Amino acid sequence: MRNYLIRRLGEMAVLLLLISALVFVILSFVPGGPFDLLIFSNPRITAAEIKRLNEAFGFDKPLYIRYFQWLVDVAGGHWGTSWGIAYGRPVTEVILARLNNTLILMGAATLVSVIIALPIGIYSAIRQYSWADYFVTSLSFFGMSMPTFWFGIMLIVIFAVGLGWFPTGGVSTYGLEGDILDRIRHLALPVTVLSLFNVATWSRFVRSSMLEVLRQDYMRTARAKGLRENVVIIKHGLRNSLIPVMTMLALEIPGLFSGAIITETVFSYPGMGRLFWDGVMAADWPVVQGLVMITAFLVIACNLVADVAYAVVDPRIRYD
Amino acid sequence: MTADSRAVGATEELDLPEMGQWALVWRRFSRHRLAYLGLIVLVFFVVLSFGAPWLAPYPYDKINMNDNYSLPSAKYFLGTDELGRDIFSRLLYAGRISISVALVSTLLSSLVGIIVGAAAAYWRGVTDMILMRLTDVMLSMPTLPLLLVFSKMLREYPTLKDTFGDYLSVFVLVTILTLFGWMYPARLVYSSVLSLRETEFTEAARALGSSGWRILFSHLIPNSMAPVIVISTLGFGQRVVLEATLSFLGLGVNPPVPSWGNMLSQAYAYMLRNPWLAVYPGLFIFFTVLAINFLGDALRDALDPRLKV
Repeated sequence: MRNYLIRRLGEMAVLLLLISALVFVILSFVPGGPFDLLIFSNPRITAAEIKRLNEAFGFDKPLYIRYFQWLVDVAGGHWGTSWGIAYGRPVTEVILARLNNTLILMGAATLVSVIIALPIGIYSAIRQYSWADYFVTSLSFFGMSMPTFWFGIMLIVIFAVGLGWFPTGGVSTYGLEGDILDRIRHLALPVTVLSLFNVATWSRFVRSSMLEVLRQDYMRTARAKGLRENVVIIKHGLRNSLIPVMTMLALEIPGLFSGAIITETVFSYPGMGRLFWDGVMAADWPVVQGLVMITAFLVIACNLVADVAYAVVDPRIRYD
Repeated sequence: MTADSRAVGATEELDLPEMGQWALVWRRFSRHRLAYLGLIVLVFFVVLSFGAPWLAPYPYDKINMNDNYSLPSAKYFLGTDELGRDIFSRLLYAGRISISVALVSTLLSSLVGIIVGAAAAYWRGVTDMILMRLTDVMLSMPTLPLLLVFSKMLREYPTLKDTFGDYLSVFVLVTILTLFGWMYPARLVYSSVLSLRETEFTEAARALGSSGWRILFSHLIPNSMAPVIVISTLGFGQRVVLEATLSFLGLGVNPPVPSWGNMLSQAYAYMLRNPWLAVYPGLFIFFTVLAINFLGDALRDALDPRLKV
């Protein structure tokens, strides 16, 4: 296990380096640079002045030197300076300011999804081919076939514009920043959007994982021992079926960030997803690079956590 | 049931004509009623979209400011948008782009995936190591953020701009969807070819003197197509959604070329004025993708009941 962990951590570092280099190179090919805003706001600036600025900040150096410089900076905790959306502010500060909002949104959505997906997945497995099972199956097909952002727009049209029950977007009403209820009202629609897709896929997963367990021999043994059906299902069935579910959840966490890009954009919710989209549109590469690295780190780390958790929960699995 | 009728049933079964693999597949497929429905709906949308030049009552870019935001009427079947363009006509032309983008990028992804997976599994050694490590690296990358970044990069490229003009965004979208889509079929083909190359019929082919290429193309690849067909069908549906999502974010298909995604993107801006604008394109996407998903589900059962993709 120890050797396995060391090898995986090494691979992780290499992969992150690769991704960072790839993104750095790609971004450097896109027209647009650190002084775009300056040029835009001051039409009389001359090419010679831009050139001098580029030289002063080292933007004229060859690509690999700039990349190396970036690596050294990151190692020292300095992720560069935003040159678009938050002009002149450090990238870490810009991202951290949004981190909280995204964590709240993601946490709420994950919680709601698990609370809904788990029972309906279990129920439709126990009552396979009942009308409830068919209902869950069709619901999951609906959820998977719908573009999430369109579902969001529909919710805004119906519940925010039409009925006026919820705000159309944002995190809080002006003047009610500390109010918990106000916060929840703002979260309701985006959380619904994120949960729909999660519930659709996760309940299917719980269902098939549960079905797999239900036909095992030890389930028959448990029933033969005379245990009550509830105990059989929950203690022998559910606990075993949760192992693959846990792994799936760990692998889904980074996917939440993609969901955040879409949902936060639809609901103008100031989180990391919205920040990423704003950053790409404004060609603010230091911010974009930072966010890509955080997401990539999440993806890779969650992969590792999923694999290790698997071995911890299920003693039959060993890594050497 | 009497012993007699059972005997008759048994002989009937024996008398069944020999069925080819595809006949069997079709039989299993046609048992799915939802898949039938899905096929019909999909064909309906495809015919509607690709028949746009003949079926649409107006050109997709015909602006008529006197009639903007009109409600459904005899003149405008589904009403008009903020510029007075006929929504129904736009939906048909948009469907042509959305479906083509998804279809072409799915086919290209499958093609690249099959080549990569088969090459790695057949030649093993260094080829295997390089190709499959690359596949793993690509699989562990955050897809949506990188799709957005790549899209932004490619669409700013001056030479591409000159070559493709208005259709630059379409070309970029197909390219990036292929770039981030080939790994799934590659993995499937890889594991399938890896086990197939050890089978007796491959050895028989080799003993008969078939060349490596012949074995690869007439035995190994055709026999590993089933999971690829399933995953490509489901991938086709996902790409329709992805096109819409990227276009909504402004980095997919851009106006003046209409697509379901960018119609939604424009509708979002005029949501308060006329919410109906946002309803139609979404419904078109929803029903198309739902039909494709039903189809993919049935194909999975029909091609290989044991398959879990």
